Amino acid sequence: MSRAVLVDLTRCIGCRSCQVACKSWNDNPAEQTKCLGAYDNPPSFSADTWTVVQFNEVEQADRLQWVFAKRQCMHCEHPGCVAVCTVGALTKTPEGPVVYEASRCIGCRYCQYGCPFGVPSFEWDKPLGLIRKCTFCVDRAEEGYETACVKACPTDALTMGTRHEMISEAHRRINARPHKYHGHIYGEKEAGGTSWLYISPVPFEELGFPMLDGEPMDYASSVIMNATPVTLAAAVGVLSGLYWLTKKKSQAAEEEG
Amino acid sequence: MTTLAMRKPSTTGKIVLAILALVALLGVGTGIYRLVVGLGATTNLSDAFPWGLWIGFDFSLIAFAGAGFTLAAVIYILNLEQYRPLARASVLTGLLGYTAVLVILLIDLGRPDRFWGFVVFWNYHSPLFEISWCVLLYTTVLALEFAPMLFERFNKPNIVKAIHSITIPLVIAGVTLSTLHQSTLGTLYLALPNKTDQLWWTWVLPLLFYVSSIGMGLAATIFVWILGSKAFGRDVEVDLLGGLAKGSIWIWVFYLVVRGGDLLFTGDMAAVFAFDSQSIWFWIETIIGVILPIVLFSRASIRASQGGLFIVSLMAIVGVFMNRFNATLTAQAVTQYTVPAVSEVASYSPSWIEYSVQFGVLAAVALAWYFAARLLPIFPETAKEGH
Repeated sequence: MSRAVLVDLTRCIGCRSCQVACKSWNDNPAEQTKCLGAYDNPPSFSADTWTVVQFNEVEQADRLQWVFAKRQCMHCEHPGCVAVCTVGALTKTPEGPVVYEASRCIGCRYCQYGCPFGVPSFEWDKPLGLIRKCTFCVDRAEEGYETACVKACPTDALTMGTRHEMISEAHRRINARPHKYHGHIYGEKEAGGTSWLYISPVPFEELGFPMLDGEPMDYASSVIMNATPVTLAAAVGVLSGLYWLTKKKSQAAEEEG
Repeated sequence: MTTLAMRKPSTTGKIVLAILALVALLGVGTGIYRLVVGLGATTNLSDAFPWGLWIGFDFSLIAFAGAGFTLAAVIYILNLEQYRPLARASVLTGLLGYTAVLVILLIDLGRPDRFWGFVVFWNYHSPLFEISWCVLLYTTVLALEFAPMLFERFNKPNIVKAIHSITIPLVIAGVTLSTLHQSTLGTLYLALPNKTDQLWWTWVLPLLFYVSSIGMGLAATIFVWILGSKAFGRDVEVDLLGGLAKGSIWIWVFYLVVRGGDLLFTGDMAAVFAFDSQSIWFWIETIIGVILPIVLFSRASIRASQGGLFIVSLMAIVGVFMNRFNATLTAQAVTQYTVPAVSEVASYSPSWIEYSVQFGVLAAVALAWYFAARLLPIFPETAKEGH
């Protein structure tokens, strides 16, 4: 059964406990940051920062309100990074996590383009750099524990369960308090569905979430990649045919001449 | 055995060679420095722009090196015998072009020590996996096509004969592999539908990349032949090159019809006339690389003039370079997740080390071409047989 996390943005107070827990569990060092005129800190993912709480100031009905959004790898159902990885270093496991096998990686960084959420980060500071990203705490899952961030969340903004349960739970909360939520469940359909699901008091455009339809990122490229054997056979056929035809023609011309 | 070895370079020639050697040496030095200290310290690449100058040049040079498969198809598949004198130079251009690409890719990889990874670890859904395999196999084909020039020079007629006996299957394999990876370079961007600008993201991108690699292959053949002939003070076969130029008109007309038809059909025409930076770059690449070559190569007087052939083929080359750079940089939205305040100002311009490595490799390849043409039977007057 594929596991998932439901992020309820109406419950998040922006305490960043999840960020700290993530760093702590994964032994990721803190970063030197600087003020960017926003509360977000650090401002983006990096090789050492796998989750970040976004501080959104949203104007709604003439009222300014904070909407905090924890961001991390979405652990897609049909991940773009997995589709493009040259060496198959990234895989989607049936349990939910998109896992990265560092020993295979050649550092081509195509996954950074393939991901629609801008998640995979590269170790720019190392002579031999690799990709790093949220692991969905697979190491904790093996021991039967929830992720470090879910464990740390003091307001139950993060709820963990199966993907099916989390979608039902999201519907239940929205239906119970329709005035409190903007009705959309982000991640139910986006890019073919994700293991991290969000419900929010405001539309997701306002939070800078990428607007994606239900098609997996590799929909078009897969159609063409799957046709490779056809292209190959067609090329060999056409080239052999052309060779035979033009050879016959030039031989005929020679005989005449 | 005649070679061009006796034709010593002029004083100007010596200066040019010395400059190329210096640029190549600087490239080797900075390239080693990059391998020792890493990408972050030497390049301006970042999580916002993971690919830059090097990838732009790689994808452009693969099209440039299309000179190899394009001329092989013209001579051996279409049996247009009159172009046979150009065969060896185009194989050399192809081989050196791909060698340059491989060297730069190696320096660009996060783990250059694992460059062989795709041979062992397969992901056949990945465009880059297919490209890697095709480039590996096609470079092998080019090496085999190049081998007769070496063995002819060193008087090993039996080996030359053995390789010539498999010429046709070798050419068909080479053109097939090129068809696959030249088009897959376009498919590469299809996997990035939310990042690639609508002026470049189109279902026909693989076809456009393939067709433009043929146009580029013809232009590169003309360009390199004139440059190479000048270097050795030999007369340029203008009528022969004019024929290729005439053929390339149809390639570019076909490209323009597909490109324009696609924009009309998919309703992206508004973006064409938006005159934002994407649309302006679109116009520059299309006018310089496609429209002007069609218009100018249509004039018999330009096709009959060495200067005209040189300038117009250079335009087509620059146009395709721009197209590949636009797909890699102009068309790509920032890839990194970050707060809007940061992503809005995120930008990329190459560091001097990126330029130094890139131009170093290009200079080394130019030198290798010169010395190969000087020492090996590349030009028709030095070749033993008509091959």
